[in-house]
Amino acid sequence: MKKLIISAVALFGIFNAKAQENTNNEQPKKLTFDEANLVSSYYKQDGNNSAVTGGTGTEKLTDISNTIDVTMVKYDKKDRKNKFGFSVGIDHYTSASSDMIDLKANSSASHADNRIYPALSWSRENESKGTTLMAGVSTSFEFDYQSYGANIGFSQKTANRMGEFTAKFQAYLDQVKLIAPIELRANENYGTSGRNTFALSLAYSQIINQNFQIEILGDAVQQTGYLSLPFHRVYFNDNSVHQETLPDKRFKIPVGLRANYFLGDKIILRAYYRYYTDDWGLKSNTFSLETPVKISPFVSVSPFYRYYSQTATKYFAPYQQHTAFDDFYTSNYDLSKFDSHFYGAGIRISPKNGLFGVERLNMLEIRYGHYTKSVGMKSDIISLNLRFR
Amino acid sequence: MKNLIKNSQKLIKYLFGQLRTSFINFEKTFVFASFMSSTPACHSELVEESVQAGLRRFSALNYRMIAILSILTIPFLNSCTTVKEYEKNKLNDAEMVLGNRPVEKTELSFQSYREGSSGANAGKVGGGCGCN
Repeated sequence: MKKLIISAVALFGIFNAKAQENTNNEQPKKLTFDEANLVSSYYKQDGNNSAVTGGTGTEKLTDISNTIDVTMVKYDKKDRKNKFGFSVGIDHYTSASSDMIDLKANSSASHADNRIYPALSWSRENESKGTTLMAGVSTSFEFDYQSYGANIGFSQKTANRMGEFTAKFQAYLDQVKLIAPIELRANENYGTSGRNTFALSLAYSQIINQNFQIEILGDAVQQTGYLSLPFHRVYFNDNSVHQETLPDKRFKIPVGLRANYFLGDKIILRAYYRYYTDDWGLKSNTFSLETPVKISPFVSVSPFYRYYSQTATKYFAPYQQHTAFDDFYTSNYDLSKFDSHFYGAGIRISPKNGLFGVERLNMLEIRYGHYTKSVGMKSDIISLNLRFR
Repeated sequence: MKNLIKNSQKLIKYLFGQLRTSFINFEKTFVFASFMSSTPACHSELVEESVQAGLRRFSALNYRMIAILSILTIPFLNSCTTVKEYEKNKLNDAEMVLGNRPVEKTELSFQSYREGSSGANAGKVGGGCGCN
């Protein structure tokens, strides 16, 4: 009797049960717009150690850069979040030093150039398992340099979602057009030479507490092929002029640490340190600190400072210091011993209802920085980021 | 949970035991080497051999100590309490992101051109441009 009553109640329940209506927003199964960023910047530099003229001469250069990247999102049948990214950048630069590739011309074709660099990316995140797969391809075109790149990566969150490990492998297959200085040119038929870069990047991020998180990063980078720049001159101590000649292999290991801490309710401390070493004898230390201060929930000001210090590569010597006994030689002051300071500030505005009456334009950030090197080079950069959502 | 605590305690005791043994051996090696070098009757080859042995042992101990210290720091990377999703409002702030913001893109680019080093910042690693 008892069994009959229980069965009857169960049957009654089954026939009258109704599924709860899903009032939550479902994940979009169609491809939907997620975010777009427009970044524009103006860069200007000057100095007196141009590599094109053997370590002396003007380094005046300006660069106007514009990039746009668009991200679309789609959830698949297994509820995995697929992100598709497309970006394209265009740089227009003018260079007084590149103009000196031809010493006789008042102004040559090399005084200005454009660089275009589109890229595609994809990632698939399985939120329940805490795993993400990613892949991407990229290209870059300018008059004397073409590049084709690809990358794949994987990340795994820890069981409590407090940590995440990421591994990424990147490969770049580049072609350098061999444009020699005018006095070293046999003819106007420029050949090309290959340069390949393979990089393994590992990172581990960890949430320490509600206000603090850190990330450890490390790369192992192997470069092979033509690693010099063909239009860089090197003057020996006998006043003879040569093309820059560097080894055809380079192995680099940079290791970095990031730490972000929310101090109180209004100040954030963003610190970064990197140690770098390679088999060309170059070692460097980088330290930066940025302190965003929230003036209001929608506006923040971020002063920043970056210190960088490097030793010279064993192949560097200044103007007319190299000898005929050197197998490899460069007078490029970017590979010399120096330290640098980069400081400035940014302002970030992200009101709730959008900017300038446009609801989708939800963030504007402007940032200015001044950069000085101990070898006499100075530069300024101003950048603007508009975000649409 | 009880097993986790028991196993963690056993691991910590083992690691400290290893550290203690390392320090004792380190001390013994130096005492032996200094005794040998101070004894006039000792053959110079024997002294050199013992110093070399001491140095090898020191290197091995050093690596072992570094490995042990590294392992000891791992538990500190995991916080004592898990931060729940509703407590992550500060961590999820746009300026707390562990990475480069889009506005910093061009700065990273000019730094990779004007400096000899690059990488370990989720930016350029050296390829894709005529940079370093």
